[in-house]
Amino acid sequence: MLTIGNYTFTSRLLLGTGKYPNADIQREAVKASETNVLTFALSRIDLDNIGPDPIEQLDRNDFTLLPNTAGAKTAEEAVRLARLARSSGICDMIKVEVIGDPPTLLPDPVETLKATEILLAEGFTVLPYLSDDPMLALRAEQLGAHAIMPGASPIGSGLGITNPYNLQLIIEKANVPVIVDAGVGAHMMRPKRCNTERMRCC
Amino acid sequence: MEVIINQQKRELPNHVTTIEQLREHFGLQNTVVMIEHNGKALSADEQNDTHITAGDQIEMVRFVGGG
Repeated sequence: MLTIGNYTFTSRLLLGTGKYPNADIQREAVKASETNVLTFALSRIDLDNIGPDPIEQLDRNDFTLLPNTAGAKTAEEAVRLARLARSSGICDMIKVEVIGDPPTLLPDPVETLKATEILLAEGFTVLPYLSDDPMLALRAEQLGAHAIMPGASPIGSGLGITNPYNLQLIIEKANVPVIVDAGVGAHMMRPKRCNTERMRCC
Repeated sequence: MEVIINQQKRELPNHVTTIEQLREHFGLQNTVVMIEHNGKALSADEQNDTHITAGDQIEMVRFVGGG
């Protein structure tokens, strides 16, 4: 079981929804994962070329949506995206993602905490994406974050957990769920580079 | 009437005067679309009631695959 704020999930796995070759494979992957939570990003609609809606391809009643604030470079932009996501009326959880260094997609810790504080005050269920810094994770928890999402390594790098000691410290100190996010790599790669199950992170 | 949607100038037909009609104009009445009108994110109810005037800045976004 996994409890994040007022939500309780039977699966500890949160599943991304990007990069599937087609909707059928995505549906099969989501079903096989047995996840309760699917992550999404927000994007402007190309009004001259409106394609199929990704979330209409899934049965939304079976999942809780976790939108992120990808694309935000400041706390202000992240808050704006979070408010837009919640205005959909179908989710109030938000993964706060504020990128500080575009080449590596590493998060900006100052802006992330600033956005986290604002969104918590507005009643969101907030999951900040952070670097694997134990003190930063502690600060986020002290603000009231409902879960901590430390990156295993830079987004998309597939490097696995580059600093298991830091991650272990975060997990030991945290009183909220720790969800290892980013850089974990394909499942078949994970035993070589990391062992998130043994570390008891989500 | 000219408005700015997703940072592009667009000319809307005369019958489009509300956000709800704007969604219909683009064939988006049955999908989850999030709308910001002059800097304010609109709930579904607010979308129905919000009127558009010339020069308004509107963002129309939706959920896409992401992690």
